[in-house]
Amino acid sequence: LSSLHLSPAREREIVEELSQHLDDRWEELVAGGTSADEATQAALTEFRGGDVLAKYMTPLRQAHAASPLTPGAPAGHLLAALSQDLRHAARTLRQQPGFSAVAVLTLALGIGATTAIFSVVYGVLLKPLPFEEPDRLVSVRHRAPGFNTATLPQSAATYFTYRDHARVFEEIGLWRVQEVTIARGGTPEPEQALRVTDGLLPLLRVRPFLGALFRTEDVAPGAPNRVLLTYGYWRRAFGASRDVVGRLLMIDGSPYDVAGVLPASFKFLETRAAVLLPLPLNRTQASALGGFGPSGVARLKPGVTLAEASDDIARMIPLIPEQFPLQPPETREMWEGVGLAPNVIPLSEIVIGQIGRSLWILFGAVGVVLLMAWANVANLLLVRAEARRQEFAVRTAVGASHGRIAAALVSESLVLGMAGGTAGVLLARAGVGLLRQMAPVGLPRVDDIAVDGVTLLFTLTLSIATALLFGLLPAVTFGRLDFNLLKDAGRSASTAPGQHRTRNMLVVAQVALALVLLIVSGLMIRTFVAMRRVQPGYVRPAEVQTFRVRVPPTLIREPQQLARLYEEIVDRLVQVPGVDAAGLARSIGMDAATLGAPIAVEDRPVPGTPPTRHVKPIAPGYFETMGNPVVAGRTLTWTDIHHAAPVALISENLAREYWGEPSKALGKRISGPDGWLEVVGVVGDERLNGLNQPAPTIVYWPMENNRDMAYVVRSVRVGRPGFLRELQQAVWSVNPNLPLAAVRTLDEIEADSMASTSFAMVMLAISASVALLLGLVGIYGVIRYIAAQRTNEIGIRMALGAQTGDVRRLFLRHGIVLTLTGITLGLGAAVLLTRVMSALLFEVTPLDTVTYAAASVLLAAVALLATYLPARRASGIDPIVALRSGM
Amino acid sequence: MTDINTRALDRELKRGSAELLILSVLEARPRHGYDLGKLIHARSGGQLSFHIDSLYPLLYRLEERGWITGRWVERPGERRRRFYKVTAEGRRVLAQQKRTWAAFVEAVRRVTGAEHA
Repeated sequence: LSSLHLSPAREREIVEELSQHLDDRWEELVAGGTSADEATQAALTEFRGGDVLAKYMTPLRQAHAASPLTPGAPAGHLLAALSQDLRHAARTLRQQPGFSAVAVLTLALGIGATTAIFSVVYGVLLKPLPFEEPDRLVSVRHRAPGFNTATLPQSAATYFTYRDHARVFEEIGLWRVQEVTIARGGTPEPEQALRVTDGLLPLLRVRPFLGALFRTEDVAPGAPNRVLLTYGYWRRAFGASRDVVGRLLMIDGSPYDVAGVLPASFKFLETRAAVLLPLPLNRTQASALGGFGPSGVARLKPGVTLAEASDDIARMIPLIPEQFPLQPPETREMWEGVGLAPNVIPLSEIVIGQIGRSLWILFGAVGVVLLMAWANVANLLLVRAEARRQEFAVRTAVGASHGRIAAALVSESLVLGMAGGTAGVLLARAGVGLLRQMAPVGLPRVDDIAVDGVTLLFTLTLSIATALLFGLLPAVTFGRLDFNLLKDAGRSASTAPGQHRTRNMLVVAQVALALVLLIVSGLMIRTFVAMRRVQPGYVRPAEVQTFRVRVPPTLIREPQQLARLYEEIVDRLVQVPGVDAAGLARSIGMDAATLGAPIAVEDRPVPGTPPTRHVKPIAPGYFETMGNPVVAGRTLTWTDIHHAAPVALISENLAREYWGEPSKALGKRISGPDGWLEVVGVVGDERLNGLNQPAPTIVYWPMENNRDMAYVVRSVRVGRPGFLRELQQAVWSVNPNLPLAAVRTLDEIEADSMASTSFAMVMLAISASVALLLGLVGIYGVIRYIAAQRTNEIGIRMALGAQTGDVRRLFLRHGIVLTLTGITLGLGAAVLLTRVMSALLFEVTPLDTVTYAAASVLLAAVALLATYLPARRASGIDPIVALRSGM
Repeated sequence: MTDINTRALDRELKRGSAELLILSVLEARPRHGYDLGKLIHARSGGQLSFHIDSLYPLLYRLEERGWITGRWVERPGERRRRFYKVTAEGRRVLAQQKRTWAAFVEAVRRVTGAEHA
């Protein structure tokens, strides 16, 4: 037949039709009483062979359709053959909608989930920052063991030293985010401002859309106020008016000249600034140890490595106290004690932070789901290829090479892979939309997550890899076929042991993978539960409303008046119906806005710098509103604030650290901003950095000249319509120029601190559920198939007196052996793999016995169910029917 | 199924009367190749029998001419089979050929009938 130059697809059809005919003839002969061997001989004799067929076929047009697919043929022909193979494969698959649908859906699930998470991983972790040559941008921070931190930012002294003396930087700039109030049309609105030094925008290669960027003189102290607008704010506030440059904007009560507008593409890390203001730094007042605050970004000169940059900074650090002498009470000893050292990392990394590890673990988890989907489809294809052995044998008999058969198999799986990939992309698009909705607030670069070109390329690669894997598996397994297969064609062809082994291995692998995912998600669930159990330093967070109030110096200048204003607001707030308590602090529980400071203890002197503690300026009502108990002593009163009494409160863990018992801390003295403060009270521990972090030791100072304070209001009316408006009215009744910013409930703040955990937990739980489902389908499919294969055997066994229970046990044993092997392997893999996720866990070890046991039991139960159903079916076989079908 | 019959049929094939045979068998309803061969064998009382290697090329030729079309049909529990049915063009050709054939048979009958009369 091969001499005819038929198109491969056509040839395949002809082969199929002829083999059907031979088959029918064979069956007819056998039914007529001929023995199987004679029937085979007779049927083949009647088929005088390819030569005669070819003689009759030659005049036909289709015999000249295409040249055959031969190895080494020119590429054009290969592609033509491929496209024909693909068309044929698509048709074949359409004719088996059940099989195709299951295979495509399974693949779509695996590929879709992997694509969705890949788009997150790519958008968040891999996509370059939107600046020119982003790999040369670095974040410049410091390690400072004396301050107990590895991320000490920049100060005026470090900035000027580096700017003057660095050999590795093309340019260095500082930035800081600040909340401001912009008056627009009479109403004050809270906005975010980004303060930058003059070098920052040029080093990011940002060009103004309108006007000009900041000049060096703009950041000098006493320079006229100038502001740059972001594109979004320009459109929002100025209706995209082109003659905006030179107009005035009232920011925190002072007029600012609009210097220019930034392009729409400008987005700096995670900031969401409306306006950019100069970051003024005073060279003459800078001191080596003071004023650390703004973050530093630098552009490395071409070819400079991170290590070289670190070395250069290490060289410059000793210059700092020479250029900017220490100012009393700072001493040389304190400078040495801080131990300032460079910490230079790529700018892209400071955006990512903690979430990177979670995302890679998630990516690994969906990768496992994909593997399981692969295993299931591979199983399906193996079964299908087995059922088609007769077809392959006929083809081989009429002259098809193994290569041709393999090409046919690969074409089919290519069509499956592509269909699965396409459906997967659609799933991924929906999934990414969902992910962006439920992504934790802490997830950086959410806007960069999309199913884009790179993601699609990834999916395409995945689909093709899938296809090759599947096409080749049966092709290799069934590579060695012989003519003898024609004889038992269509009969109860007993399966070669090799194919059973492949299928069993696939099931074992699936069980193992599913177990790993179950354990991983189980550990996350245990972490989540443990986090819900901690004492966070507040009670019933859903009843606490928080908001910030900023008082610009233009509104009130005197610190005394400032405190009176804050007190008056508290008085008005508690008069709102339904309000139980109200108070204020520099920062709320876990929003991480507190500062660290070295705190000395009078009766526990230490050499060098004392340990750093969290410092939180507060005002009365804070603890009462939060529901954090006073363990010993008293809380603050407004009298303490108004008279600047030298008193402080400390957290229970700090009291225990020094004095063993909270009550013994009372009356002791600790260092404050202007001398010693007496400890008058001890309060319960507060978790400032999130529920999964240990409670820090905290010192509470009476608030001083703080112009940005957070209010807390406890009421059962929180979240009810109208309540917030009443609170706002209460604030405005004191001063109508005060906007409420960062309006959130304590519940929301807590949810944010748990967001990355709950995000990881939900995603892993979804992955594990899909894995469990795929595993169930996998085990069920294999046991069911083996049962069908052994129908004949079962019939004989039952005819010989085997009981239903015996048959059932036969299959159950098979399923249990596979499951237990899988569970053993899975436990081993989990022990090795869960170690990477220990950073995500809280009060649960990666080897948590309860989780491992529960996951194993759950999986074993599901596997048993998946085995039992087909086993019961097999044992229900009527021996007569079984034997007849097996004749 | 004898050689003589086969050779005779092969000759008929070349002349085109086998085409008429197939078209008329398929006219009633679509059939697959094996069924078709068996039916012709049975209806001819075993006198006419197609070989697998001449039947299928003939089917393919009719299909190329657009007189019949083959379509894969799948039935539950069975392998798919290719069923052939007569196209509109095929029916026209068949009607034409039947008329020709009838005329020919009539002519032969008259000639032979006249001889025997």
